[in-house]
Amino acid sequence: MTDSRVKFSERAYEDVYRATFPTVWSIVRRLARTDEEAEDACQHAYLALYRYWSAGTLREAPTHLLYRAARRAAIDALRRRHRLLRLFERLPKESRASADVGGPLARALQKLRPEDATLVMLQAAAGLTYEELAAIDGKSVGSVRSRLFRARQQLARLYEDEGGTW
Amino acid sequence: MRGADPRLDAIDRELAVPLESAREAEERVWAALRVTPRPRPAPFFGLAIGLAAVVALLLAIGWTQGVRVGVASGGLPTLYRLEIGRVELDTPDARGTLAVGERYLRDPNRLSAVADASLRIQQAALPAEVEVRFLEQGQTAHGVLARTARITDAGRDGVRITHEAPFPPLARGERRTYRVWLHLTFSHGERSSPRLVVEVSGAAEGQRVRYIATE
Repeated sequence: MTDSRVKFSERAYEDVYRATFPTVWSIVRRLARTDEEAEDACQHAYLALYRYWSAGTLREAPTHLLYRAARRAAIDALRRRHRLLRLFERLPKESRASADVGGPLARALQKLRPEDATLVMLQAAAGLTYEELAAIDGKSVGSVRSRLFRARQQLARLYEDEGGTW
Repeated sequence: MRGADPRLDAIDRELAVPLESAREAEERVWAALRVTPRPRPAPFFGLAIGLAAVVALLLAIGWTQGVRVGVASGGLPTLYRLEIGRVELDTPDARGTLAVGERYLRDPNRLSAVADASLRIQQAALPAEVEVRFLEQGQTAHGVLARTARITDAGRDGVRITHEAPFPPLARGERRTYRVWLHLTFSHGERSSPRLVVEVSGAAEGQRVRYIATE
């Protein structure tokens, strides 16, 4: 993970962007309704990284801030999705939905609590340790560990409910 | 615990696979980021803006209170007050004010303590004489900062008299306390305004004046 002492430069910023985007996209896109919504969330996250890093006020690894901002954006996206579901029961057809986020696992993930869903994604897609997750979540390692355990168990059940097979 | 349940391991593996849409999205988002004006706040920019706003607010408040900023040649900005105190004279014969303040009067590089008198004398009260008098603390005889004698001609609404009278010069570090007032002499008697008590001091930028009391 990139160290917070790495000096900011446009080149360093692009390097972090290229290295992390597939993971960030994977996290955000699985929880957002559309590609456009996910792209907006990614832009917010990377702009936040740029703002703090270029101002020299970054106090943590750039990727930590990035994942926290991406997680926040993904939680917002998932909450919007839940609100729409409550309003219309069934979502309208999505304009530019990706084919790779429509399966039973994606549907199950979207039914978790947004905070838990993003935590699961950060661990699975970004490969973060419990300590790193706790730093991003602002909670203790024990709390993160137990929440992740319950969330993953619930995810497995929801996956089966959505027709997923092992 | 991770790894204990093969179902959860399968989920982890699936979630770890990058989405195929990532490559195109990566270019689209990067293109958007490149054209978006990136915020780059300097660490002290917000502080400087806040400080400037406070200074501007204080200057605006000060301006309404007669506070001004002057910059003598090659010097630092100097705050001064156009008026530090005023007294009024209101009699059947005459009405007017006497104000004391500081400003650049004759020398654009040196502040002066100034007494400004402005009054209107009724035609029926003429002839008259107007004086801006001062009495230095510890002295028994008063002095005159400005005088208009033998005022005899006036229009229907009377005559208007104004004075812009600097205080006596002081050396740097010198400090004097004065009582200042308007004194009018008519053929039928005399009138005086209340007295302003002020302290005038000599400073590097000229004379500074401080209000003490009204008597």
